[in-house]
Amino acid sequence: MKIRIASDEHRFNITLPNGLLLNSVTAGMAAAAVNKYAKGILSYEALRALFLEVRKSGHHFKGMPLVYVHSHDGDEVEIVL
Amino acid sequence: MASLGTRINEYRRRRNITQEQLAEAMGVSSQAVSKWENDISCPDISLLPPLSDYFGVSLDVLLRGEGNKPIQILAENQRKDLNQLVLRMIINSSEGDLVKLNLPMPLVKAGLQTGLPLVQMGDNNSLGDAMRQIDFSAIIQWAENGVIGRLLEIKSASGDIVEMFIE
Repeated sequence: MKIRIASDEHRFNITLPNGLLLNSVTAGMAAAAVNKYAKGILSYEALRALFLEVRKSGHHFKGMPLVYVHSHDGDEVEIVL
Repeated sequence: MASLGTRINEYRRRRNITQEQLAEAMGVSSQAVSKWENDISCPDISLLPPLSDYFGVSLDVLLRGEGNKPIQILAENQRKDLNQLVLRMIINSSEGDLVKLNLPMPLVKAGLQTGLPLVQMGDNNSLGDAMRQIDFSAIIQWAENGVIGRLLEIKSASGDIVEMFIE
């Protein structure tokens, strides 16, 4: 998975293997973080299932931008599978 | 409507690659890519399928853009498997923000099964209300029954536009 953030001042490109980013450990960490602010929205099990589905999609749709945001002041964020 | 060159340029930038890298992947010179992007020349027809594969978009989207596909119901023998379909959403805010989402259908299905609220619009405006009314399980059912193309276009009073496609 590639994460690209670009603004006038900064430019970041982060490339991480999906297996490293989306696994049961990171699902637990993400669920804990989400529940800290919005209790009950996402369980660990739900997040793990979602992460697994994103990983599967990564095989089918490798290179496809999942999210692309271009703000009115020119900042860009992109997440590529 | 944006030109083919503009779309090639946009997709190349989205992938964060240089003209040289695209040229190398397509087996052409970087000058050729520059000419495509500036609408001085067009890619050879044999390069269109590899280009669309490389950018992860359909040939139709590469040639015609994302906003020009009418809705249609495919015959059973032409239908794609749900695992190969993508739900695309384009949100253009009146303030000039642009959000594009390409959600693989299996991911949408998993999101529904886990009870994840798929659409969360920040403000409690008419557009947010309209988006919350969208029945994503029905969309999955349509996709399974061969519906593809532009599903909906919502224009809010404040000028925000949301478009949704199945591809």
